Amino acid sequence: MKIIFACLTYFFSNFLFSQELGQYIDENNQNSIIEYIFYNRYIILILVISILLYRIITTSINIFKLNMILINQPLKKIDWQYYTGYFMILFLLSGIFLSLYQFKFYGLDLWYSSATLHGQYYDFLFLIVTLLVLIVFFITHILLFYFIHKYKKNHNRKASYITHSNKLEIYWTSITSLILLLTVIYGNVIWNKIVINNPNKKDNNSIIIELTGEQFKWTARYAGYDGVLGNRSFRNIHDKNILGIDFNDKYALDDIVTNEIVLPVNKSIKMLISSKDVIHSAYIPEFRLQMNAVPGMYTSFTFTPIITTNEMRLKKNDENFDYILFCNKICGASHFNMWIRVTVLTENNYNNWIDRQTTFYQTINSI
Amino acid sequence: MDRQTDNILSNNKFNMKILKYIFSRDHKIIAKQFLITAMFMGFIGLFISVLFRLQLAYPNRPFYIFKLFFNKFANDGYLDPSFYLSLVTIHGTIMIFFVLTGGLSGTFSNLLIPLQIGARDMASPFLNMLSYWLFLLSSLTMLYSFFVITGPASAGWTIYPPLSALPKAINGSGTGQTVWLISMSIFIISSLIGNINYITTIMNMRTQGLTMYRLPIIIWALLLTAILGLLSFPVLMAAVILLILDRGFGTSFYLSDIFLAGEYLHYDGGSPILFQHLFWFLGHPEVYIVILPALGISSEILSINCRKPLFGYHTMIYSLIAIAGLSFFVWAHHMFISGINPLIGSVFTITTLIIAVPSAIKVFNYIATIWRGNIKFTTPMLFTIGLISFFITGGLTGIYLGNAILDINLNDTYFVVAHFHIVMGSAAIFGMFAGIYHWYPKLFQKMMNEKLGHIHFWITYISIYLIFFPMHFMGINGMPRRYYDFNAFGMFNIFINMNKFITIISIISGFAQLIFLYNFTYSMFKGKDSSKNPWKANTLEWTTPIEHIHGNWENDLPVVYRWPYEYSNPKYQDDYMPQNISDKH
Amino acid sequence: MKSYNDKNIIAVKFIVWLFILSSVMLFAGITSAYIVNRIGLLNANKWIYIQLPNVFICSNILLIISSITIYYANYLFNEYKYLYSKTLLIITFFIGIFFLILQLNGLKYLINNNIYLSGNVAGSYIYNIYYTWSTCYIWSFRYLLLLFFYTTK
Repeated sequence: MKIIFACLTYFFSNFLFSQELGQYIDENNQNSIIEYIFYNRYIILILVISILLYRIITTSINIFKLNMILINQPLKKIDWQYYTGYFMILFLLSGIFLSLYQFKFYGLDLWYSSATLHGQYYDFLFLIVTLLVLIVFFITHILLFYFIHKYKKNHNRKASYITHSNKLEIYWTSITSLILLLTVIYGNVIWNKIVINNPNKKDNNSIIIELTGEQFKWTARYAGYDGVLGNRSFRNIHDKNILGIDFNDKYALDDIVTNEIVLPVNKSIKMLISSKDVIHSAYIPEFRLQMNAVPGMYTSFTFTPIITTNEMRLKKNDENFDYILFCNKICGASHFNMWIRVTVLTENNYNNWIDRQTTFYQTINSI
Repeated sequence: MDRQTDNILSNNKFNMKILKYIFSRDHKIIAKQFLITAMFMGFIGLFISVLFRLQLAYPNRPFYIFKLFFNKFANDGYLDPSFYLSLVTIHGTIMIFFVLTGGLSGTFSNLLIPLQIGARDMASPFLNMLSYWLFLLSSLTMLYSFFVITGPASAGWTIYPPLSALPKAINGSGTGQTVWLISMSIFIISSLIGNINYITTIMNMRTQGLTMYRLPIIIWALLLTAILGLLSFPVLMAAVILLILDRGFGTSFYLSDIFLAGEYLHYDGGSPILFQHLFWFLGHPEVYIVILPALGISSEILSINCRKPLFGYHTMIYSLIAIAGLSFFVWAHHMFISGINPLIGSVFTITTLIIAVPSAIKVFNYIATIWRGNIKFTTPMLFTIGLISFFITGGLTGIYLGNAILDINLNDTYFVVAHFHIVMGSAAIFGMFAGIYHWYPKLFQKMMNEKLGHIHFWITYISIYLIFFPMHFMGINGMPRRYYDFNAFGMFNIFINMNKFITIISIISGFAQLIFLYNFTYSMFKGKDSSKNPWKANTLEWTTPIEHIHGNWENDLPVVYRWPYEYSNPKYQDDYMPQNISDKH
Repeated sequence: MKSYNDKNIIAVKFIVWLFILSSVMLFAGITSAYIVNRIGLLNANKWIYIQLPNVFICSNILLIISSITIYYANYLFNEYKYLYSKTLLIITFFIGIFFLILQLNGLKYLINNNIYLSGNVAGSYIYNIYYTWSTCYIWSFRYLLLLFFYTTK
């Protein structure tokens, strides 16, 4: 019965919520009550059908009961307690099956596609934590539902009067703490490696890219041949100088500003992230990279991509694949459409690409 | 329904009977008022969530229902993107603050604290009444924000500046955000007054023989909830004051270096991260304020329905205290990638780890309570089982998010949405349902229908798992939250059908709540009359007469002789022994 | 009912302490915001050291004196010397008014030196904390008056 109801709901909800595609309510149209009924015909239909169904079901149950009384056969009272115990076990088994099925079905597609050096450590920790979590999840749920089923109400049996057991408490506290401690220590070790003591930071060959977010686009700035980014200030933003670069600074003269990010593979890259107006967030899922873009300060993230876009396309069997950097912090109406494409090229291709770019100074002054 | 005694109301100015009833200071009536208001707000929040799920499931499709309700914000049946964000914001705010904080701790504190500790009424009935009417005022103000020209607040329930401070950044940050801030200020005051009342009553007005270690766990939980609220809501008040000053008075507490809508704004010297620190200093204790009463309710219901004492009573108390105390030291785990110093990140990972341990201990104690019990599957028991199951799942996914490094890829994705909906939106709501079904005989002197309760439980339980479990996978695959639609990206195409499925299930589950509403209202008038102690429980609230009296007990206050979990003791003949009956009789 | 009233007084005292605790948390929030902001801006050389005028030191001393007088008034009330107690309450009230005048003087001085609510963050904090504090202060006036009227009864 519930299945039928669910199907009906599904079937009708599509119609209910879009009465006539493309034809919208204009109060002037409903001149008469007949037009009103016609316009809302589906809602009325659903209401009528549900009321009818309800009457049919309850009447038939009543008829059945009356019939039993008439022929003097006492109705067997259904012991819902007993059945609920079995429902619990059924739920447990179907729950285990469905959760494992989802792992297989949705794959953990992202897992196999981590594309940076630190991403591999990340994936390893994720795998360990997932295994631990799954073990605990299944054990506790199995215990929970099994005990519920086994100890359901029995008039002949009295519950045991056990109030506490200090030994047991110590055991399960220490085991839990140990397991959590291991995951957290390993996590901290990797966190230090990536964010605090990044070995890539020590060597000055990190390519520095500045990423600025605004409502609703991202702009990237490369340092050019001198390897240093020029000064900028928000007060300089006007007309074409969308980043407010100060061209009195000699380092600013060869900066390159683009609408897409291009990175060389196997080189460490330091991204300086900032924003012009509200908080945004730079998020590249495959790179295991996320960092908020806060107005008024720079945040940074250092990483090394190890798989080029072409290699990733082959791996995923998808010609149209691209790494995409999303905005991941609510930032306004077009928050869902604020992204920038990230391309990872081999070193030669990257150098060719850089050579082909015009500096920002030239772009501004040319028109 | 209430027999009013004269000396309580001799100083009441209004002599009309109906006004005596509405502005009553009796804690049981105030509990009912909190419950009804919270349920009303809950249904509005539920309805809003179904609407924006429709948008997510069928992104390119116009819907008549949007035009019907949100005429101006949904031209031609397509929801405005900024209004979508408003819906998300208001849904979060209503559900967390009004339903789960006001509804859970407001209702159950008011109902249970005087009854279970053997007091005639709260320490200050006037403050109690004030707390309710301020709560109602703030709910109505929040609803009023829908009728503002530029729309309700739309910067997320976390209202980070600069988005929430600049009206030009998004439509809802104008008048709508101001109304939100006013409503929350009133709510904070209401909550503070309530919490002060609860703490005072528990500490000062316990009856004779009731030491702290003989209190039911629910009272401990409500005490700790009130302490948490008392200490953390003022910090939100501070954050809100600074935000109000930034929005309207030109200060720069949170803003600096902003170039918006083609002009450079004058703000200089502030930091948006400051707001995040202040907000999450409330935000994290807030989620514990939400879950602690639910855990307390589940302890009570478990031991009553398993006819077995709660396993490890003292350990439960200590773990409650540990959770409450530690919750003040973990707030920055919501901010790992917000630009804070990474060293702080590693410190907060460790403290988050420490706070995971008492929660795990509580779950293990629950399972040990069930072991070798004699379980009766009443509706409250079913909801408690659901709560334990959700708490396990939600807590385990919290381990991912508490680790600073794993949080990098999962922050602000659907993984976080799944985690907090399971642990807050499902475990705590199940605690609320369990409490309502369990104490309905106390509130309305009738029993709720068991069959409808069972149907309500199964539909809700299964559909919540079906809705939120797949969201974990969506999050691991990188799907960001608060997105209006995902059409721009090919990589989320595999989840199109999943989104549709989740929306359909959520509509079905929404209708299942109507079963609960029907059960609730029908049983109030035509339900089976309840006896004095229908669940055969030990605590003091079941020793009062069935019809409500001001002052709760007719003659003397009861005297307590033992702890409240004396079930199935081989020493006694019955399988329960109420707290107020002495051993030698 | 009598026992209820007795218990009630103890409870009401407890309630007052809890209100004080929540106010402490409110100011703790604002103060921590002040400290964090100051350290951050000191590093970026954007902080202005504001010398508060001496008027505020005088008003602080007045505050301490008024606490002493109110405490003494309470003590005298318990010793049943009602007349002295009432006189002290009146004195406290006038000290409070004098305090307010001094505070306004201090604010006038700040404004003359161009420190406003908006503008530099340092200035904003002074006004912010002052505003929150003054709300508490005006309420305490009300309670002082109430106390006075109850003692006269």
